[in-house]
Formats: sequence, C-alpha cells, structure tokens
Amino acid sequence: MEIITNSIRAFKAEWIKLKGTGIWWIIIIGSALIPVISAGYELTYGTEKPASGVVPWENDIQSNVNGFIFLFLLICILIIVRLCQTEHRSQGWKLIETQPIHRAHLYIGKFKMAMALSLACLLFYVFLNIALIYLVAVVRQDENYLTHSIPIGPILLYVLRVWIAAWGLMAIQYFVSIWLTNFVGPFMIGFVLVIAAGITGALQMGEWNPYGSPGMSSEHFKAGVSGGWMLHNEKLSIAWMLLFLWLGYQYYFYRSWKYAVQGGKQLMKIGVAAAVFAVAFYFIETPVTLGRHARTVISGAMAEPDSLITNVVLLRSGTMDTLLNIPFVNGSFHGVYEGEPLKAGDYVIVAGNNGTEVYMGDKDSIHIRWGARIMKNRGRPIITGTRQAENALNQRDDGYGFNVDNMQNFKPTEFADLVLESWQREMKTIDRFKTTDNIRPSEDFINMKKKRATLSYLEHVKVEYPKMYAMYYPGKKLEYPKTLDTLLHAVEDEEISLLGYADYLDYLDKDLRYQAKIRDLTFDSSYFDQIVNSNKPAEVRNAMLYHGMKGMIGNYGDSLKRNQLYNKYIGFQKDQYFARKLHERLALENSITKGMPAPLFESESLVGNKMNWTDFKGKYVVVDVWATWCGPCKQEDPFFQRYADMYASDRMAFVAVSIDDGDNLYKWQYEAGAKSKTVVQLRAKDKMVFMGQYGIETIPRYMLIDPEGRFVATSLPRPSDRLFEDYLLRVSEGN
Amino acid sequence: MDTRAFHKPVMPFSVCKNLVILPITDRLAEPVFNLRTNHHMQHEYAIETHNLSYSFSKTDKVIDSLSLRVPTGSIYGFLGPNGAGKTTTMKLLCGMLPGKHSNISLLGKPLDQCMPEVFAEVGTLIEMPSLYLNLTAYDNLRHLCILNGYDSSVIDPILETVGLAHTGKKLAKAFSLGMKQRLGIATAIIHKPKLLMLDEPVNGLDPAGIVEIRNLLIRLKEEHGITVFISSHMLSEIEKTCDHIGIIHRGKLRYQGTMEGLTNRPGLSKEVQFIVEDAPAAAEKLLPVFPGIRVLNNRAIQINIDEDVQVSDINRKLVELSIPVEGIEVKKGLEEWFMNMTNEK
Repeated sequence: MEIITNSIRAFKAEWIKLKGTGIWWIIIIGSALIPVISAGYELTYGTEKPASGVVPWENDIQSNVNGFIFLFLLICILIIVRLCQTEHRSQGWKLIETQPIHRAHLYIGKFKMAMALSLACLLFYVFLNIALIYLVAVVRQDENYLTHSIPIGPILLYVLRVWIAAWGLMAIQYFVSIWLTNFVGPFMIGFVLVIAAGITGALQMGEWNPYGSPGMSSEHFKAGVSGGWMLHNEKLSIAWMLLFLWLGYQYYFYRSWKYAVQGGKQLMKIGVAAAVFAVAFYFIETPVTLGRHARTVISGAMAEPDSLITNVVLLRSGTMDTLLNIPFVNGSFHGVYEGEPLKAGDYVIVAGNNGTEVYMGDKDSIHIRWGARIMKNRGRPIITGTRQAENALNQRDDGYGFNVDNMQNFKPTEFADLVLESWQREMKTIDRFKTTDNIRPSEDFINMKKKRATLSYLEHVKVEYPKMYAMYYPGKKLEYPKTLDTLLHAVEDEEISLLGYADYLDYLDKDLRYQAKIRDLTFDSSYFDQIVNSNKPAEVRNAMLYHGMKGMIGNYGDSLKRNQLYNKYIGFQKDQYFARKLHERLALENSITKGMPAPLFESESLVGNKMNWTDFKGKYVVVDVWATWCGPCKQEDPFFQRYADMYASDRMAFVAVSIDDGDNLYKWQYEAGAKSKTVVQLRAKDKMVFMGQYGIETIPRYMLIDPEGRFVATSLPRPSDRLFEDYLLRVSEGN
Repeated sequence: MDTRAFHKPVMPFSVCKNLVILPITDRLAEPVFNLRTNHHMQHEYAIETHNLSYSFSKTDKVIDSLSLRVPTGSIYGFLGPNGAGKTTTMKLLCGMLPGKHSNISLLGKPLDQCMPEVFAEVGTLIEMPSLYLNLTAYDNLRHLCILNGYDSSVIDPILETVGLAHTGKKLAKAFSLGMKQRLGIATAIIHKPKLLMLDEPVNGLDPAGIVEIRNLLIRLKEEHGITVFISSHMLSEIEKTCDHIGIIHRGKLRYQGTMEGLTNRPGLSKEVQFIVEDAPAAAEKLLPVFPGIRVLNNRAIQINIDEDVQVSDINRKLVELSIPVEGIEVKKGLEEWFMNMTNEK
C-alpha cells in the first residue's frame, strides 16, 4: 500500500516540476505544427478532393503518424533530457534523495512522467489530426469522410502500440540523461541513434533496434495479421526498457560506475539482468514457424463485396483445374477441401474479378481478406493462416533482379562475379525473410524459393557465360571460375520437388535447347526426341514432355502438324494426369482452329439484347476481346476503332467482346457506349466459360471469323501492328 | 507547557533592507512546529560516527578517522577552513556518497539501516541549496509536501519564518543569493525535523539575515529541542551560535567539546582591544613595550597577551604613557589559535 502511495506521490511531485520547463510547449508545438500548416494549406489552396472510395481515417492516421515518428522520437528524447536537466541544474537529486522516500520511487516516478508525456504527445497529435481532417472534410463536404465513422478504438490501440514501441529507447535515453549531466550530450546521442536506426531500418537490419521500433510499429495500423495485438518489436521494446531501467537504476543508486559494478554481488546482479534480457530477446526475436492445421480449409472475406460474386473457387495453378467451389455469402466464404491430398505448391483463389495466387498444401488453413476498394482497385489481399509467411514472401516485391543486357563487353570473370554477388544477395534476403509478426516460412518453402530464385542466375551462368567466354577467348575450352561452384550446384540437375513450377520447366527447356543447340520456340521431332531419349528420371521426362507438348499445341496454327506431333509423342507420356491434360488442350485447340466453327456463347449487347455469331451470318467478323481494366487493350483500341471506321461494310463487321463483370459492368456500359458505333459492343455473360471455350489466357485477343461462323484466325496480330491490316485487306478484297 | 503563551500580539516588523521579516518567536509558536513532543529521547547523540574515513582516491584521505559526537539538543558547530572535509563529512552523514558506511548513526540508528526513512526526522541543506529555479518559492515547498505527503498548509508559515512570504509569483531563478539560502533552509525545516544539518547556512546572507538565521536556529533548539549541526569556516559565526564545537582540519578532528571548554583551554592567549583617540600614534608609543601590537583601525589597537597577564596592568601602562583609553574589549585568543592551527603544514 505504501509503495503505491509513494509512487503516486513521486509522480505528482514530478508534475509540479513541469511548470516553466517548456515541456508542454515542446509537445504542443512539435506535434501541432505540421498538421495545422498542412490543414491550413488544404483549406486555402487544396482543391483536389481525395477520390471517393479511399478508406478514410485508418490510412490517413497511419500515414500521418508514420510521418510524425521522427519528430515524435526527438520530442521523447527532449522530454527525458529536459526532465533530468531539471534535477541536474538545480541539484535536485540532492534534495529529493534526502527525503524519506525510496530512491526507486524517485527514479521510476520521473520515468513514468516521461512516459505519460510521450503518450500525451501522441494522443494530442492523433486527435488534432482527426479534428483537422474532419474540419477539412466538413468544409469540402467530403462524403467519404463524413459517412465513415471514426474508428476510435483501433486508433487508440494503434497509438498504444506505437507508444509501447518507444518505451525501450526512452529507458535508454533516461539512462544516458542521468549519467551525463549536460543537455547536449544525451540529446546528441539520442539524435544520432535515431538517425542510425533509420539507416539500419532501411537496410532491413534494425528489427532489434529500440530506436527504430516506433517507426516499425507505425507502419502497421493493425498489429500483425495473425493473433496478438502486439508486434514482436513492441515486446522487445518492453524488454529493452526493463533492462535499461534496471541498469540505469544501478548507476543512479550509487551515482558512480565504480560502485555500480564493484564487487561480486553487483557484478552478479548485472550478469543476471543481462542473462534474463538475452533469454527474453531470444524468445521474442526468434522467428516462429507455423505448423499444419487439422483439415484443409479455405476461407476469407471481402470488404464491400462485389454484388455479383456467388462463388469462390480454388484452382490448381497452371492447369486451372477447379479443386473446390465455395459459396460466397454476405462477403465471406468458408470451405473445407476433402479431395486427395494437395501437394504443397501454388494454387489460385478466384472471387469474381479478384484472383490471387496462394501457396498452400494439404492440411493448411488459408484465410484470404480482400480490403475495400481504393481507387477502384482492391490491392493485394491479405493472406493469413498456416501459410502466411510463405505467401507474404511470395507477395514481397522483388527488389533484386539481374539484367544481362549491358554486360556483353564484360570480362567473363567479371560477369561471373556480378552474377554470383547478386545471387548471394538474393539468397540472403530469402533466408532472412520473416513477416511483421516474426513468422518464418517453412524450411521446405525457403529451400524451394531459393532454388527457384537460383534458376535465372543459373541460366545466366549456363547460357550467357559460355557465349561470353567464347567471344572473349575464341577457341578455348569453356572453364568456370572456382567461385561459381556453389551457384552451379545450388540446384540439382533433376530437382523433382520443383517440377510443379513452370519456371523450373522453362529452365529445363532452355537448358535442353542450349545443350542440344535447338533454337528457341522450335517444337519438332528433334526437340521431343531429346526429351524422350534423355536419361533423366521418368518424372522429369514426363513433366518436360508435358511442358513441351503444351507449348507445341499452342504454338502450331496448323492442326495437321500439331496432331502429327501429338500422336507421335503422346505415347511417351506415362503420367496419366499430364496425358489427360494434353488431350483436353489438343481438343480445345483443334476446336478453335482454322475452319472450325466458332463456339457460340452467351452474350449481351449494351441495350441488353442477346447476340451471337449467327447474327452476323454473311459477314466476316473481326473480334476484339477486352476489358475495361486491361491497359494494353485500351492502347490498341484507337487502332481497332480506326480500322472499324475504314473497313466496316456489308462484308465485314467489327465486334468487341468485353469480359467485364461484377462492379465493372457499369464501367463497361459507360466506356463501350462512348465508342464508335461501327463496332458492335458485346459482353460475355460468363467470363470463365467464354475464355475456356476460346482458350483465352491473356487479353487483348483478336480473332477473325468467316461469314459461315468459322475461324479464319484465332489469334490475329495486334491492330497497332501493320500485319493486322493485311488480314483486313485480304478479307475485304475477297481473298 | 501552555503553548498559548506564545500567541502574543504580533510584534512590530523588523525591516532589513528591502525584506520584511516577521518576528521568529511568533511564527515558531504556530502549530506547525508542534513536534511530536511525547517522543522519548533514547539516544545521547543525534549524530555519532566512529572512526569514519573517506577518500576519493586511493592515496588521499579526505576524512580520516573522524569520531563525531553531536549531543542531542545541542547546536553543534563544525568548524574548519575551506577544504578541511566539512562538506564531505556532511554528505557522508546524509548518505549522499556511494559506499557502505556502517559507522554512522543518526538519531541513534545506523544510517545504512534507516535510509531513507530517517529523513522524515532529519533536515539537510548541503552546499548550494537545491532549488527548482523554474518554480516559485511556494511551489518549491509544495513539491516537497507532495513528495512526502505533508499537508500544504505548512508552507505559508514556513515562508514567513524564513522571510519569503512576499515573493508571490516570483520564480526562484530571480532570487538573490540570500533569498535562495533562506528558501534552502525552508526546504530543510518544512517537515519539522529533529535533527537539522546545515552546511554554511549563512553563506550569502546580509548581516540582518545572518542574525535572523542565528536566532531561528537558537529558537529551534531551545523551544523544540531540535539538534542543529552546522558547518562553517568562520569561527566568529560558530562562537555566537553554538554550544558545542568540533574543529576539523585536513580531515582530522582537532577538537571536539563544549564551547566553554574551548575558550577555557589552558595556554590560550588573550586579545585585548583598546579604543583610543589616535591609534597609530598610540601604537608608536607602545611598540617598545608590546612588540606584538597591531593597529586595527584609526581608533583601535590590539595587544596579544599571555593568559597570566592582567588587562588592568596594561591599561595602567597606557595611562602612564598618557594615552587616553575610551574602551577595552577582551577576547580569548581563539581566532589566533584557530589561524595558527589551520596554517599548520
């Protein structure tokens, strides 16, 4: 009881001493300056209303607090240095330490005051921001802000976390400020450490750094995507605080390093504290690896869901087999997969226009959350569950890459060094990866990721390097520098675990072509013979054959040649699944090949009429498959329209088929309605069915259909290409 | 004792320079200073040290085997020249220096066992007063009240006691040295201590202020039984206030005992001052008879004589030399003795 009253008294006594210190002015001016100026600027000169659809408050508060962190840290440091200066300057220690109150209370009381002031500073800043944003919104009548309520609870939690993240550095600063009795010393130490934290943070090395902790926390309005309301750096901040409060107290109590570390007892006390901290540090900072779930579960939610989505599907990546179809109700979905075990790898989850690639396997629980629209786009969904770290690594922007274009004049050894260095850097980045929640991808995944990332480097070494070597040392036998050994052996020749990934098959394909001196994009007997006659394991051969034949089927416009090659080599495909897939693919390609009737599909015009190819009987039809969200389509559109204006006639019709759906419907109606009337505007009612029928994997896609509704060409050049007009000329001249 | 006896009508203010100081007697009679009178005195010495030594470096002992005994209820003067170790001793007594000092007792309890509770009964003022310059006198004291849980109604009477009641909203940074010293003393006595330790308490005070403080200390002792331990480098100051004295030089205690005991020490010479009309002329005449004669000013000469020489004999001599004597002041030769001692190498 007495402890409580004493600590309250010590805190209240600190309160009195704030008078005339200017600390309140530091807080008020420091935190109000920028928001007030920017709000004033907005009101006076700002004319641009933020686009409606932007999620207000959360984003504003987070970006503002994130921008304020540097000032906030300086204010924290100033507060602490100033509080200690109050005692140093007036020799107040002498006074308060000859009072009947324990030094621990005095010591902690002052730190508590510093904490209270820093919290006051953050709260003042955030609420001033809210008030000013609201003011601007009222003046401008910005519906977006006025209709969304202010999420006070989450904002307070966010502020609390940023505040906790500052505790560690405040304790260190307190320790330094008690030790060094001048003002400049502790302030400059704090300032330099804040700058240093910015640098280590930028280098991804500062997660342990208490001075970088508030910045890290401020970047996440909500604590990590999984569990817990605190991030690991915030927990670590508390550990730093306890350590330095304790060390600082040892110094404070004796007011001398000599006594603070003298004698076995003191040394043992410090040793124990350091050991406890080390253990805490280890437990907080060691990344967690998640285990598997009891079942394979796919669930998720969508903020402001698109009105037309009824189902969410789980597809196998690449082949796009539907594995699971989950009803989408009230913006969320939940489904359990009970089919044969899924191999860990890439899958696709599609909900209307929103599709995202997900890494998962059997007994994984995947939760996928699409946020509200920002400028019509939902941005990347947040993937949580047992594979969150793997998916976060996949979603990470790859900052590294290796461009071989300007290296033709390099010495081979220099080139090798550059490739090696770049590769090692990328390996390190993958090895070090962990999420904000301090979760690390599984070891298997990291190994797989590293091997896949290695492929492009291997390609440089195996394909580009020999070219350079031959150029630089004509007639000499190819030799690799010893340093490249690790890279050359990073991926085994037959990496069965990678066979599910197209990039590995591409790599094997390139390697094979290079070894056998086969030109790129040549799919003939010599190429397939190389595959079937190779002494690679059957699994690898099957995958390579599948990959090659799939390419071949899509590559040959001539169905005769296509079918010949298919019949010659399909017998070598021992994998039933691959064989079935290839068969389906061939059937599709044959069905949409020259001379075959173009499949009918369900469509509607701008006024809602159903139309189909039969409506164009007697005319050649030039078809443009597009969507409002497709940038390249829009680039081609003026060319397409120009040709329509030039060539549309009794003999020839121009049709644009849009694959827009969901919320984009209105956009389609608006954009298509504004276009030249020489183009008939249609929309495929079921995008997936339409694209499947026509084997469309990318848009824009241009097709030509003859007056009997049969394909002339399933993939025309783009209208911006002069060859496009050749087709039109031939058709219009009756050839 | 009927405390109402002290509630006399307020005496006229004594005006000292620009300060108005209320008579201390009346203020002290306020309930503020009603100490826990039923407390039994269990200890003979308010401060006791046994062979206390301290050094900042390995070679140089600042304090050397100091055995202080400050009797309860006394005003103890701790005298010594600058650098003798007074402040270090004071800091040690307050537990302000690091290290374990098991040989110090305050109010009968070993210091290292009663920190910091003992400060509820001990008031200290060491070196410069510790004041928060950004606060007023009132807030400086309110800070202590809040820290220690005292009722802030004690503040106004204390401010009047030390003559700072008029300072109002003036911040301590605008205080004169004397005002700061008074406020420092106020911080030391606000909690009605049983033992008061003051380091050079009259430093920076004007003569009237010095008298006020001196009277305050005497009153604190006489009316409330407070033990006062003051340090000073001025013998004259100690002589006027203290009943006990300890003399420290080079870290060692040279004398400890009552004031009377010091003045009656055998072997002390006497200093006699004669007030004459023309001191230089008189000195010239007397020089052959008293070689140690000194001219203090135009109207005063001083002759040092041994203990057994009678002042009347010297007076007769002066009359014989037709030097009219207007006044005689006899002093024990403490000052000289103190000077001699502190000049020792």
